[in-house]
Amino acid sequence: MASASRRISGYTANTVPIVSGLMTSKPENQSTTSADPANDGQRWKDALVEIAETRCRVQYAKLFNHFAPRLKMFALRLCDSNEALALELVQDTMLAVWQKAHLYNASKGAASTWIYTIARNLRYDQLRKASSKADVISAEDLWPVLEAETDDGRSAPDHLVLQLQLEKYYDALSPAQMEVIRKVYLEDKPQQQVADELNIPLGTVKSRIRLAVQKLQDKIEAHHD
Amino acid sequence: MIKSHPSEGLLQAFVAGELPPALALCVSAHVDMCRLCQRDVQRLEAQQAEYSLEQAPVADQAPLPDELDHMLSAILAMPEAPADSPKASKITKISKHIHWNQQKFLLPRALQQQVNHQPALQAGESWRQLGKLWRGRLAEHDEWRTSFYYIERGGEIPEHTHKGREITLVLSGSFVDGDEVYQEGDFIYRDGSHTHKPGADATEDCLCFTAVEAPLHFTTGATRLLNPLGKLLY
Ligand SMILES: [Zn+2]
Repeated sequence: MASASRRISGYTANTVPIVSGLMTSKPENQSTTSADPANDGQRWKDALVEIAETRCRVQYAKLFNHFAPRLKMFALRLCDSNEALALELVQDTMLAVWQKAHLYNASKGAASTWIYTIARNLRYDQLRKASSKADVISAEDLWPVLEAETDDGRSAPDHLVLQLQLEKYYDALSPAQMEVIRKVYLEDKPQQQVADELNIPLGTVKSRIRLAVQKLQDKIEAHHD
Repeated sequence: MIKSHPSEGLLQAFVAGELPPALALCVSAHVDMCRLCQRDVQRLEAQQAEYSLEQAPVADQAPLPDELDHMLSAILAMPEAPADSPKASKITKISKHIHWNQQKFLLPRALQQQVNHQPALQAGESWRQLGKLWRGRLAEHDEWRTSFYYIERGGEIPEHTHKGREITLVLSGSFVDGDEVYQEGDFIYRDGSHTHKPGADATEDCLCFTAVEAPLHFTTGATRLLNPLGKLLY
């Protein structure tokens, strides 16, 4: 297709300078724990993992001491300097960090990125609740970053194509793959339950799904091009 | 193949937490469906976290101000959640699909969260028919309305001009606007300067999600009579 990489433009809202300032180094007296930012990053990764595994309050307090004041500055900016809203955002974020530390995946990024993303998503929830007219939103309305990684769907956009309507593609799958796909996606069963029903390891369920999704994606892309 | 993505500026504003929530929802749902934008967003989030948190001018050793000190005590005083088994609890509670016309559509994660609060919408019961179109309203936020649209093959929305921004995210089937045909995952951004009459492809039905800022204004002949429907439609 001629316009394969076309991007829709026209957005004109103000954005913060994402890049500017990134390269400035910290004044020396501000980093008392380590002069090396890379070590710092590792330190907070380790802290989060330890918090998840041992519920260590001392580590959490250290993490809180580091991030809460920084989050507050960020939150004040997002909340147009509304102190009450900003503190609510900090509290909700840091509470989520304490309670959901087990959902942090150190291989996917820095601790600060995870915490930042939680705060940003909670800010959108806050805005949505404040502006919403008709819709009912529960208190635990957390965005995907705080969902348990219950299946491979977390970051696999391909799954959208797995709808009944697309049954015409299913003949690309082996019977074993189809069986797993049917149970997980069409019958909405947890992967562990499917593993139990079929008497196979959870890892096999996951790998069958991965292969099946790949096959479907290839086939569908071939069809659409 | 997804061919139409949010602009870099839109992704940046999304990452920075600066979009109206309806628009943020559209971007987030697209990102769920789009590997390329996932990569961009992850990169921008890492940069923005570094800039907003790590490089914030805050001294680590300073004692916490009172309000944060109290917050820390309050958080640590919360009862521990019962032995964390997120796998068991979450997955049964969240349904991932929306039902329409005896079909079942798997939604991007960002939309699953929202739709779960509205059983009638999710079951296809609160949808409103307008010719070959059905609309299921999700929410109204200030000037924004978010909705699902089901457009039967060959159906179109009468020609209209926007008064504000309109985002369409194609969830299933093909969505046609002028000479362009959009597919699953495509993110289509329009602003007030644009007149169009989008619809479904002639060969298949289309399900999409839209966020519209302010009502549409219909432009052609008899369809001006439909103007009052603009509000119902979007
Ligand atoms: Zn994209």
